[in-house]
Amino acid sequence: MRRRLSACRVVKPVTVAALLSVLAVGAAQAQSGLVAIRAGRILTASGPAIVDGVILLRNGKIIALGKDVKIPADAKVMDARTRTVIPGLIAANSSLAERSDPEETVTPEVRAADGYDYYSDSRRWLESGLTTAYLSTGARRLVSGQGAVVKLAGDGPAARNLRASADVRVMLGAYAKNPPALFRPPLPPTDDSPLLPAQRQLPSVRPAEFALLRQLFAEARRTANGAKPGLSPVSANVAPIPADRNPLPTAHDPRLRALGPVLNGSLPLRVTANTAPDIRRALEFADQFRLKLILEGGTEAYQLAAELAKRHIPVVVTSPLRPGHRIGEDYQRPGVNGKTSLRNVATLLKAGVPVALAPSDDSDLTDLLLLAAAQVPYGVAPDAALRLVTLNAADALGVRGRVGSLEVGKDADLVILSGDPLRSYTRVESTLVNGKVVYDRAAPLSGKLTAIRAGRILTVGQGEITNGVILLRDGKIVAVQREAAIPADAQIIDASHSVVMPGMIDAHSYLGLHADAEPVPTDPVAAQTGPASGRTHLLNALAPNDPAFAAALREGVTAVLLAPPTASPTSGQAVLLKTLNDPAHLLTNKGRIVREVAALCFNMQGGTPRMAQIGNFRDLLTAAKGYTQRRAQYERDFKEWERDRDDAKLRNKDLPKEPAETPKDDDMEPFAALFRGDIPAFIHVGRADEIMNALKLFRDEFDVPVTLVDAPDSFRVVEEIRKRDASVALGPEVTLRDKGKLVNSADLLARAGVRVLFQTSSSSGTQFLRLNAASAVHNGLDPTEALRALTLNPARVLHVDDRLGSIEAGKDADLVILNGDPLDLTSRVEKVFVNGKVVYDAK
Amino acid sequence: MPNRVLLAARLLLAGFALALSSSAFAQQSGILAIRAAKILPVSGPEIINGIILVRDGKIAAIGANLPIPDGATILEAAVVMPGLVEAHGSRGMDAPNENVPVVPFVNTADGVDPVNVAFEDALRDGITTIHVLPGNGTVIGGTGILVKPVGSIIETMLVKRPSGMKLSLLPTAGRNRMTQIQELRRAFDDFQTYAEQLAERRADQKKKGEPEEEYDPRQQAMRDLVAGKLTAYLYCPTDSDVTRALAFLDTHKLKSVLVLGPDCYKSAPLIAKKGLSVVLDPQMVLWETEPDTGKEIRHVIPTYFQRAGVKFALQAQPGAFGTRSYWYQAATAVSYGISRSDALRAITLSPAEILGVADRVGSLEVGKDANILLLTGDPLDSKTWVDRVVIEGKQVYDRKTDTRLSKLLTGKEAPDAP
Repeated sequence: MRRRLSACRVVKPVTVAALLSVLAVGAAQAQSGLVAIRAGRILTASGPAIVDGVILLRNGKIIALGKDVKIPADAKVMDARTRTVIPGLIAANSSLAERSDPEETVTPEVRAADGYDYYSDSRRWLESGLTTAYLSTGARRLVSGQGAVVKLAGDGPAARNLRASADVRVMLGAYAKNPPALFRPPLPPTDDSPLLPAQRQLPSVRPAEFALLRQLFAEARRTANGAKPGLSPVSANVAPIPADRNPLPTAHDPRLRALGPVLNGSLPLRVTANTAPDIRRALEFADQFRLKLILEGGTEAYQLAAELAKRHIPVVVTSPLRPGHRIGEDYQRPGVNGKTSLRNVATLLKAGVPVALAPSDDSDLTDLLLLAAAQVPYGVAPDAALRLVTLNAADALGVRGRVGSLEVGKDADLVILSGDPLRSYTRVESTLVNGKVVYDRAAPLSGKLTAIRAGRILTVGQGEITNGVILLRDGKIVAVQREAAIPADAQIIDASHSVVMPGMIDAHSYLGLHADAEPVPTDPVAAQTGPASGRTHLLNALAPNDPAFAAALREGVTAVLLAPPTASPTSGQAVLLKTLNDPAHLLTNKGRIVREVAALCFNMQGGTPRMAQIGNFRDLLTAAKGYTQRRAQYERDFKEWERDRDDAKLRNKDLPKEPAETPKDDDMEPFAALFRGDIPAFIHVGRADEIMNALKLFRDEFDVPVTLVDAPDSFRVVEEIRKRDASVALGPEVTLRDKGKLVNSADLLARAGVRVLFQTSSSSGTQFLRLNAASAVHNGLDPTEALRALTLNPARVLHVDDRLGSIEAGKDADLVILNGDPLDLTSRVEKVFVNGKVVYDAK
Repeated sequence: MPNRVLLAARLLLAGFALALSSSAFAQQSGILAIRAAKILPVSGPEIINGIILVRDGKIAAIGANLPIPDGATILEAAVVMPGLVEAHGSRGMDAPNENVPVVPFVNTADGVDPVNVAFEDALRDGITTIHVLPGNGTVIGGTGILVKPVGSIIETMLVKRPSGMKLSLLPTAGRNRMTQIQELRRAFDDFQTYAEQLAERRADQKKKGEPEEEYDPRQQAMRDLVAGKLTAYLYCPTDSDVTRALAFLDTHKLKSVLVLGPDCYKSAPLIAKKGLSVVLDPQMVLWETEPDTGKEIRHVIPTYFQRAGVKFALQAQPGAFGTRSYWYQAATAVSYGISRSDALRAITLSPAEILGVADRVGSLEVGKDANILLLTGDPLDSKTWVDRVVIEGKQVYDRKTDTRLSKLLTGKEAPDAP
């Protein structure tokens, strides 16, 4: 049973639009049903643009619109202050109704609405801003039926019909000629109605087209006026239905009846005519029967612009341009549809003809704005271009009372765009139909791409970008751009009122070491024999679920240099860690550790008598350097010996003597990295003499990279520090008073060209890192320098600037979104990303 | 104490004597008694250790602890339930569809072969009322008949003729949705024209004292349909067709039952609003792919109609499973969350109500036709057999004498075969 079911299951796309609209009813509307859209720009299509306006919606209608509209307290507010709002787009032609051509050439009673699947998936149209579409009937018959106008979303099929019958369609030109012959056998054949061969149908030439049309309309007029139906059928095409079923055309003949509304002017006749002669004949025909006419196609309409303008006949021009498609037409030569002019629309508009623009193929229905924009270079004004696919289209389709522009009383069908409708960069943010959100780009998608739209991007490495976009994928930054079209599958995070900066780095911290952060009593043995670095693993000491991690993330500190407690003179190796602390990260450390050995920490502050201290450090470093060299030598020798041994084996010679091993010493190993320059020495210092001792010993004697930690007296020896190319990790106190005068070390150091970092040396103070930097800025530090000190400087010092420290393509997506300048203490952190994922959201 | 025992024994003896004497009478009057461990009447709660008495082809009594009249023929069964009713199908037809799209004047009675093995199968699987309609491949396909699967000529099988008219919105060859419904509308226009012209002629003839022209017999079915005397069985392949169907029915004020295609479920509320009943597609479980996530969503179609409050009948899978599948459909519905009683109702009483014959079939109630299935176990258990079938009081099937089944299962003829 199970197998059978799965074998015959039908997989169909779900109408997401329907689902979305259901969700939107609950979410987007407050109890009052009032929705207020606060819009940066409103292009109404019917009036002038409104800047910083409000649109009020209720019960699916626009109830107020303007600059000074007050937003009622009970209204649900949609923030589109950086957006442009336009009316829902209208496709003035489409073949969204299922269509194939009937056998008969004259079937005016066929209705396109009958061929439309109201339950089909409209999402692709809605996400392009298309909300209303004209449905045409078949394309290769003279009178193929009645067009319809439907909304592409809404409640229930009946409510979506704007016009179940919009017009009766007539197709002139090459395509509708030479229809197939009709075979309608009588059931059963009798003497009165014998079996006849298939009957040919008109038309094959233009005169036949019009002969047939004229006879048809004349017959329709006669019967509509109450006259008995004529006894002689007008032609094979309007011949009665086979004799056994319907002996004579009557008032019930659905074909003639369908023409009634056209004859009395309540429905227009929509004639597809492309060549000038066809258009001219259509005008004359409409004049003769006093019909309301709409032209479709109109390739050569520009040749008759004045005529069309005089009669005020709307033209639905089929766009000759197809963005993103090969255009086969040779513009130099007239084709089967006449000679194309790219200035057709502009010419018609200039003459005063109401023009709507329709795509030449259904696949372009999603590009209506592009089609309109493509008209601008050929002489159409931008506001007129927008009207081609909104108000003018609504006008031509007879639905102007409901849609096509943003006006009070009209349906709340509107599109919220990221920018100007005719710009290529612009994308649809959301689409509303009847006041309900039927498409919202911000809604989570499965696409792995995330796009952050930012008001300001402080890249740190490459300056500031206003109104930019940051694309993230798989935890990395993929691109940082000034103004960019956002890929369609991206999930958008809107930070267009906000500031985005790289995640901050605390350059020296005991975060998570609550219990173990108490200074360890000095171990003189350790001081003499070397650091217990290889044996103490800081990660083992981290307190799980320490709330300080979450607090750090909340404040935008995404990485810390986790240092061992400082009382021991050689306190060991430091880990560079991201501040992620959810259980998954704690267990696996996946994505959490940036560098397991990122620095080697020393403490030269106070403690042991200084003379002895220097001597101890010198002994230690000498021993370490000796070990490093011996070990390196041994490794070189061993490799050489291996080579010689293999060589000797090959040549059958005596094996060489294996070099004496210098055993690997875990305690000494981190020093090897230090002497290679791979990691810096982080030296905790206080007084100026301690600073000088550290610089002389580590820089002058042993030439290893040095970062001074804390170093309150650094302002006294700025030049000495700069000369030796050392960095300073200031904090937690960054400003101090010297003889009553305020000293801003960060400023003094930065101005001298010393690389400044900020640090907290605290197990729970990491969250106040930004506070320290802000205080330095308050007292004169250049904000740009402060920002670097929080981000790129520590990344460089710790040799992780390929991953952290700035917003650049390829780096980790560790970002902080703030509602204002990061160094302004009134600014709050809104969102924090680590490895491309939102790890903190203020909402 | 011993006195009491004696008294009881005497009473018992007396009872026996009474029973014996009345049994002769009962045999004469042809009473059938069916004794079952469990009776599922469908219209009411199940009866444990119940008895059904059948007289003159009708159910005379039903309940627990009923006295069995003396001489009654007694049949025993583990479980007893009403014969199944099939609301829509083309069983026994050589070909379900006419090629000409509008043929309201044909009737399936002329196309059904009474000795078609499908009827024998139907009996074996307990389907006792079968609606035979033209297929879905026309515009107006003709009228159908309601039959019971017994008899060697169609007249003995008939329950109702004509039973309803088949209309279809599934585009036939060379048509699309627009032209399909155009053809349907045109046929109704044609009939209206005919009727008006006939009325004019008859008025004219009446004035002149001439004999009035008779209705063309070929137009009779359309006339009944338009007058609401005949039910339209309107096939809607998709939800979108349902909306058109509802508008069409409104225009022509037809009495109708919707026969639905496999992916009609979104329109259930619209159908409920119109108060129409439906026959569901044999495919009851639909899978759809959510376009963004690629997640597959399962839709159990009957649940949508149950929730909307629409009366629905299930439909057997056409093809390989044959009649057997009708049971499976109910069982499948249960496995997907429809209650047992609703699932059983959807193959018995609901189709009977939809067909307008609930006064005669579909449940076990006093006064109804004695169309009764005697089962070896629970109806939704795949190990259960239909042991005997009683139609209108007569046993018409006995598994012990089912030669074909016996041969199929054992390779031998049935031992009790006459």
